[in-house]
Amino acid sequence: MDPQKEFNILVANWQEGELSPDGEQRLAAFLDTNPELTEELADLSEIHTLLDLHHRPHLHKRVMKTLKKSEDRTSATRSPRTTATRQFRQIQPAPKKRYKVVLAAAATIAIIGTFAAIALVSSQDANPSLGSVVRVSETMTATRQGQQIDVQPGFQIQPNDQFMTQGSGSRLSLADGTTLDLAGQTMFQLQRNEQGIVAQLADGALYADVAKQPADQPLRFNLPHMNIDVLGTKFHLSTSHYLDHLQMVEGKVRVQSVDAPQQQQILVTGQVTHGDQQGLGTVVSTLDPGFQLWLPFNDDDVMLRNISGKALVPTIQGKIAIAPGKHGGGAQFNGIGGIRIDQLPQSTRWTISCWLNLKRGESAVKDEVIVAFLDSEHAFQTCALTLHKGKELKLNLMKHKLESHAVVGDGWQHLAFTFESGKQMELFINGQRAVEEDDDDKKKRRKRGKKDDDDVDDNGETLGLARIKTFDPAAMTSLVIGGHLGQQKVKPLRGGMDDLRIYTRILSAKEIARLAADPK
Amino acid sequence: MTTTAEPTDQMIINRVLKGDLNAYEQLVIRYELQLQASLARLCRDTHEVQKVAHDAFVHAYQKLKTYNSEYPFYPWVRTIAVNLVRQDVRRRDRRQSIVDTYITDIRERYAADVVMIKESDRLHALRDCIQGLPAEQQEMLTKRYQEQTPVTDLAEQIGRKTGAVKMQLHRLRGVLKQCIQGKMHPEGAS
Repeated sequence: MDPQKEFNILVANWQEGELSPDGEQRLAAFLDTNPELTEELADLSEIHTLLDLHHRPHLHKRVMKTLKKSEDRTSATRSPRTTATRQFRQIQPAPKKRYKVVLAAAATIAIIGTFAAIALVSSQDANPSLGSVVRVSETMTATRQGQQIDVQPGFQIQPNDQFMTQGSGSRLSLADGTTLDLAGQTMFQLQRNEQGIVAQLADGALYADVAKQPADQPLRFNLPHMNIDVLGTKFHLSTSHYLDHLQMVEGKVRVQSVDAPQQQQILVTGQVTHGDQQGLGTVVSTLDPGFQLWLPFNDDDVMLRNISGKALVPTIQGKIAIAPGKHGGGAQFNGIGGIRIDQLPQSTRWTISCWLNLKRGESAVKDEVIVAFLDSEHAFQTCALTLHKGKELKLNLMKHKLESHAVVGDGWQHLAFTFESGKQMELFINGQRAVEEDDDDKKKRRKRGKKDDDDVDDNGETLGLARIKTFDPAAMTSLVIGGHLGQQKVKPLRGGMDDLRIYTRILSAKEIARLAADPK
Repeated sequence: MTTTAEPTDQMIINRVLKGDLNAYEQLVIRYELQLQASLARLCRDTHEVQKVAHDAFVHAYQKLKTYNSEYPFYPWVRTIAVNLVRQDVRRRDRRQSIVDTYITDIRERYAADVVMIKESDRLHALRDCIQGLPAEQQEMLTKRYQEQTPVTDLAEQIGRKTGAVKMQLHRLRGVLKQCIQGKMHPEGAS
């Protein structure tokens, strides 16, 4: 079909909201190759909206209805600012005023004053402030008894106040010295019950530095999928709709699954865990010096958040999207972009592990990149795992291919590959070793009078140990995951990826099997 | 005969600050089209445009005390609206389609554009361009956009295939795009 005609049909369908996922990928491919078409699409989208607006009733009636509804709750005659302030004062308990009354009474009749003081203490105990807001980044709103309040530093936190942050870095300080730094777009609430204070994190992320708590009254954090009891420690906490994530910085906490309450874990310094509808994930230590990168793709705002605790910074190359993954969110590669990681640490040992959901079947694309290491010249991939014609996995070292003949199955599959200078590269599919130099290869080589560590044949039919020896993994400076390599024959990946982990050590077969058995 | 001069924005704002909420409606009426036309370049669809414009006017009212009267009102409320769009984009990143991700870059550029064209002119230009279309094409736009007739029903009514109607609407939008550009930038029009 004529490309312009195809593009027009795709756009026509997109504007009517009737574009299939395949059609969307086709359209994205058009946009990727021709930026001018993106401008055209944006213009047409604007015309579509203008046409719609042209025929819609005016907005002012809705705006005024909202404002009048809001004003009805308070006084309609005050300025907005004054009204908001008065609303806030009406809601706030008035301890100072009560205090003055009590003092006046005490000056007149000491005994009545004593009773009044007791009454004051009781009154304060009934509804004391839980702490205050120390810092507000951009804007923060609190909802109290159905009223929305713009939060400013110094705001006194009452039980059941619901906070919503805009920018990242707002800080709450609790009465016991605990500090909570809230990320942007975070929904958070503090409650008090007979067991103590309960912090509810409904969405977003926070960093908690919890002051020492009484042993019988731990500070509790409730997330959609996990509850955490804290006696005093520091940690990062985040939640999305799919998954809760806890990363310990210091100390010790007890975690219980909401969805499978029999599952409990004790986490200590440097450990990480997850919780979701299926329970709690495996506890992993971020203190593992070889654990360089971990992308669970679950954080919707920062898709490429490396939660391994290391400094490797992945960047998006071209376009990838968030989509359902093996576990919670995942990355969707559409053959037009990938992930790139530069400034790799120097290491002679590498293990890469991930879950993949590949586009299967016959494909015109000869090779699609899953993972590729680039040397310092970025000239060509020096070690890559590719998908050949949508069917077979291939490990490519320099110009030589080691075909696994292992066909990946349907749906999500776990893949891991390792390589180490001087040793055989290994590929694992669903925890099982899939690539090994077979006995026939060894026999052939010996028949030719070559030793095991001799170089490969000229035609590269066998990937011997010697080739590995001449290849220096420590010279690799960049890693491309599913993205462009600047070659005609090797294309970016099409398919889903989840839970990408990169290590600068060789994981044992047992460790890989464990990762394949448990995606979390 | 006497004529009553239109109150300035500042006069209206002063009345609102003194507690006359109804006066605020005049400001909304004055700028709602311009703001929505501006947001049409930044938002995914009409629903989003109207939501953001609504929220921007409400937010502006709530913050009216902080408004600096040395500057005109419309750029201020537009800035509020653009910030709301940016916050929405951050929130919906996970939901938007891959095609949206391409257009987002362009929308970001529009949002950062400091040159304030009179966006309501685009709507006026659109109105003129629609009037210049043949009657049956005007009718098709009215059915699709004013009466919100689904494309499948529209196809049935005029005895054509759904795909053909979609393409016809697409072509009409293309014609209107050219026409608006011609009216907004007559010197660049061919």
